[in-house]
Amino acid sequence: MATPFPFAALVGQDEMKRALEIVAVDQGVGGVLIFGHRGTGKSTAVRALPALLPDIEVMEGCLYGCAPDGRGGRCEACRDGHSGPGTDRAGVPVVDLPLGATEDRVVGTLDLERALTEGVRSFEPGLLAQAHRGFLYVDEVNLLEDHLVDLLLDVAASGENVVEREGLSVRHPAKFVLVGSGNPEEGELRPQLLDRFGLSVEVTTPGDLETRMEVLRRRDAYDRDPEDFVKRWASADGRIRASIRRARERLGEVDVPESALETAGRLCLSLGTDGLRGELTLIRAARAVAALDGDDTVADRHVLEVAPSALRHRLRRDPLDDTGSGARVARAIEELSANGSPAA
Amino acid sequence: MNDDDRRARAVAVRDLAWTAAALVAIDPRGVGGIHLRARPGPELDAWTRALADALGDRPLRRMPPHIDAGRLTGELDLVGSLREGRRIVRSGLLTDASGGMVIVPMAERLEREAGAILAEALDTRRVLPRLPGLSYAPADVAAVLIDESREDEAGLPDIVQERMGCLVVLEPVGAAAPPPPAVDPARVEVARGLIRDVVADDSDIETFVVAAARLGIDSLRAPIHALQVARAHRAWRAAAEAGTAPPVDSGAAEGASTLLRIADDDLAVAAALALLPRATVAPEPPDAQDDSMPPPPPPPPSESDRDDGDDLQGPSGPIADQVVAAAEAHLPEGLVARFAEARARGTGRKGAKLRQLMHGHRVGARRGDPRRGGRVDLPATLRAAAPWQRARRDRAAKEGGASGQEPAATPTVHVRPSDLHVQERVRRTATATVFVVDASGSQALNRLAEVKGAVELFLGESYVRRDQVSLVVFRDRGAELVVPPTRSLVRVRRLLRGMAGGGGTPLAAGLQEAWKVALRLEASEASPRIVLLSDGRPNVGIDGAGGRKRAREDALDMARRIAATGIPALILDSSARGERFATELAQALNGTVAHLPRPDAQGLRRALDLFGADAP
Repeated sequence: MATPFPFAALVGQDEMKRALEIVAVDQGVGGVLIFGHRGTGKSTAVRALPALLPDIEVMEGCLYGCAPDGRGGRCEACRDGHSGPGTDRAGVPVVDLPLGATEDRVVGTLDLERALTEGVRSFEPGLLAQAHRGFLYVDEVNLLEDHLVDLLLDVAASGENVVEREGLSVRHPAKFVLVGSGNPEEGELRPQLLDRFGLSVEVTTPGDLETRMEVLRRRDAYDRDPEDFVKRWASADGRIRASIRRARERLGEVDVPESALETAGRLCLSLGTDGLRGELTLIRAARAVAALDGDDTVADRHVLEVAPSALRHRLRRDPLDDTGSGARVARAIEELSANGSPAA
Repeated sequence: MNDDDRRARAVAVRDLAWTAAALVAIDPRGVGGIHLRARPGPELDAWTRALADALGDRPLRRMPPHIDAGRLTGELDLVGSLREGRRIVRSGLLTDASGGMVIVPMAERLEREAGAILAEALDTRRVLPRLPGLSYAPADVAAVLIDESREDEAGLPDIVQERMGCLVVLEPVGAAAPPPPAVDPARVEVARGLIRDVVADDSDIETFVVAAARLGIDSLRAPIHALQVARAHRAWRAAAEAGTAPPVDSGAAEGASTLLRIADDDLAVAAALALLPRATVAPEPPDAQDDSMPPPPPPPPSESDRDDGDDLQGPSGPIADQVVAAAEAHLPEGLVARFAEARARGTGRKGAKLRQLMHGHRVGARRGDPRRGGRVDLPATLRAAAPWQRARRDRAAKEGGASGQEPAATPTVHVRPSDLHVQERVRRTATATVFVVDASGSQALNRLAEVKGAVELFLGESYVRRDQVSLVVFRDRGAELVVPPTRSLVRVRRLLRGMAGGGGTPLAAGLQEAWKVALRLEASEASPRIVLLSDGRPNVGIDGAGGRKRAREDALDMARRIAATGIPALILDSSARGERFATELAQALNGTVAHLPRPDAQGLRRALDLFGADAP
């Protein structure tokens, strides 16, 4: 893919773009769920990610793209010194997981060719290995078999793929951000899986004429001459790239004061989100937002900005309440500010 | 409309299909592909030949709908590698077709994985072969998806359908019709050179955005595609004017590429190909567009909670209407209305999703003899044989040596019958509950609200189990399928909102409608069950005529028919003191009855457990 549509040139959809930036800064926030109708730029945004992220250094000859400094884990070949010592530069992988892919393809399987010709039991890595240090994208994630979604979330959370099958016993690093998109009208994700995603955003087709026209204008310019279009957006994309890079460096030093913890806690309490996961994710995402904004301390506004994305999929569902979960979060934020929370 | 008009229209429709072939050949990336509704026959053959002509030297590959992922993206050629003794990689079909197109017959049967891979290729122009490492292979293709489904059947998977810029219907025109327009490859080539000179100005863009909104199309991909189709059409027309011979010295001789402006004709063709077939709201008939008429209604708020109408009128509203009207002349009569209705009701297309899910799906392999049923799973068989190769080879060599056999006769791979594996396919049968709800006057209106709430709550729980729910309502003179089988809470909520109550109690009609739904579900490999919520006092017969006695007889008759097909049924009697007829009806249905004077969620749940008890 020589020239994907530039991330910066996507019209609107700020919440989705912000969520992707956040996980690009801090993988630990978890996966991103993007729900919305078709034709709202979901896949375009995901496919624009590689151009936005700084290249990574990988061990030469490593099938898993292990980092030379060993961050994110090492595969067997790297541990045993079979790859490297030289390094290569590579783009951040954004790997598609096609719906209907077999488990073999996803987790990896016995390398048949070597088994048959050399009699060696060796491992043929799957999509999880290919997505290491990058993103794994599942369009129509709501239609994926539950056990696969489960497996993906497990691996993404642990950063390691453990394969015990066909006489193989392999573990290899697989640290990636799971990005799932789908249209809720075509089926929904099980609630048990929903809250295992870090962030969840809702995208809609922009409602006004001018914005829709701008989408078409940019798309038309891109279709006519992709290279030229990408060149014209290079500096805008470059600014986002730089802010992500700086945020990554700064992330460790961003301070989370008591006040931010309290705001997050009160918000979760008033929304009745289950468990601690929501609160932890909210804090972590707020820290990434602060880092992206170039701030040293997490302020209330950082927490409140990311609250809808971090919490809307964790609310208890009340089928008789038509209010969207995003609106419920917004209401809780309003109430919180009205009740005299610490100033933002 | 007389016969001559009708014939002329059919020819115009046919010619549009040929034009689409030329346009996709001119700009495969912009147009993306063609969703072609057609049945096999001479028209389709001729159209395919026209497309091949238009592509000239560029490849056109057939892509079977059941192609497996490895063949599509590229993979290790196992047999070849074993024979040659070295690693041989076989490129995928999408890479072989790169720079050209793939054509998918029976695309409604496209495997999910193949569909997703094709969609990725359409987006990124590359595929990830099934090989270790991250080395992509080029796959710069456009696609023709031949949809042979009937209109009430599952159509194309949305993931690919959405990426096709043109939607074309190919119908027989009769032998007497004039031949289709020639698609001259030289003209396509000239047009390919001219397309970059075509400019779309803001009014063109606005026209498509407004027209799409008026037709109730939410996805912005549709107007984006329309714009690219319009540009390709402009280039196609310009190529005819320029003559078929490409200019010897382009640029200088032509006075440095004159810009080509999109004209009304291009807009109309693009709307006919890219917009109208995706309408969810039928456009106003042209003769109704009188100055005295109020503006066409804005798209219904059903698709989302925003109101598009006010923001999207735009100064080019009237132009958009004209373009839509002009475009309609290119399409079969009534097609747009038909499509719009199907989409708005959500039958067909959306229900289709579920059928794909329930379809037999390969999940793995198990040891077994293919002669006793099942397809042999080659990789699994070889995998089972692999660990033993060295031992078996040694043994074969020993035995071969003893009997003085030629070494050439020893096979490369030693496979024993015990290694054989067959593919395991799962046909998941999800439970599908068809609620039949009495919305008649006797069933008080407030009770209807309770029922709505209960159904929603029940659905909230059932999607945890991935069950489907469907809702049939009967009242007044007949029955209506309010919620086609779905797992989506969002849709149910929307559809329930529009549900009305009052009138007579046509119980038999309700049962009949539910039965039809249940039978369709059974055909799509789900296990249906019927739950009737009623106070058990029918007073309207199956034919819509009043009369308590007839109504009861009709209901019992229908119940016995349902029982004969073995579909399990449960009656929830919502009358205050319990109705004897409900028990009678349950017997005829060969089902159970539960007395539920207040159909709240808890009661409903408890009652439905009656089903759970005897569920497999």
